[in-house]
Amino acid sequence: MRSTTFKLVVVALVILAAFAACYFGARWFSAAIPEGGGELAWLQTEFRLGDGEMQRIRQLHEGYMPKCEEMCARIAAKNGELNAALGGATNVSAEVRQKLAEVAVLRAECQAKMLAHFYEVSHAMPPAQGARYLAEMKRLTLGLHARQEESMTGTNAHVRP
Amino acid sequence: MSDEVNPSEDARLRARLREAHPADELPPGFKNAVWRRIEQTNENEQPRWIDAVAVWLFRPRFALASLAAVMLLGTLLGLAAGDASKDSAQALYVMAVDPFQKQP
Repeated sequence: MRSTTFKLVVVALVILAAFAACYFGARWFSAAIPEGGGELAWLQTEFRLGDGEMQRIRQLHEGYMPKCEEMCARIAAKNGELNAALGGATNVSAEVRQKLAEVAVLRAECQAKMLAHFYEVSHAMPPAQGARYLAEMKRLTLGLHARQEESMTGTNAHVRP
Repeated sequence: MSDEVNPSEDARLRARLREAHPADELPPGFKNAVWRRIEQTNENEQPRWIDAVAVWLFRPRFALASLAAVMLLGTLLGLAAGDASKDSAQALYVMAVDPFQKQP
């Protein structure tokens, strides 16, 4: 092979190797989740959990999922009832009030069950990781609803001077 | 004076010359081998643009700057890919456990 071409090929390979090393190193450093790891892959990677901890958490998760599915179905049904009560209404009827109250009760019940599951999962982790998990899950679930509510009251748009 | 050469004298001259400078017999196919090597040399001549690129690339400052840029780009893309995969995996878990965020 000609000398210049050979040198260019070597340079290209060195550049490619440097790029690949930096890319995969950075991915590993940022704790990238492997593809197809399932619903619990994030927990294992983010909280650096061992196999024993993951086995316990997997059991808890599998036990919780049917309850979660049931709650989903109840929420969907209750939302359907609320929408039916709202359909064609020109004011807030007694039925609408009742459905809104039922939705609120159901929402509180679901949130309580969800929180109970988060506590159980956090107890299956080392204490520091469990505390971080709890904080993160509150932020991602309850925090989302709280932010929506704060966005309604955070401005003075509805406050008269 | 005549320029014409007597063929018999020419043959004699050649014979004398061969005697004065004896040469070994050439191996068979020698001429073909010579032409082949000349053709190969022509084929191996490097185009000028490769030399120009090589000179440009092999300057130390440029080489170091390029390497640093490639490493920086790789690192940034790797971090971005890691964050993206983490976000999607996190969303997958949250959607699984939060009945209010489940897909209908």
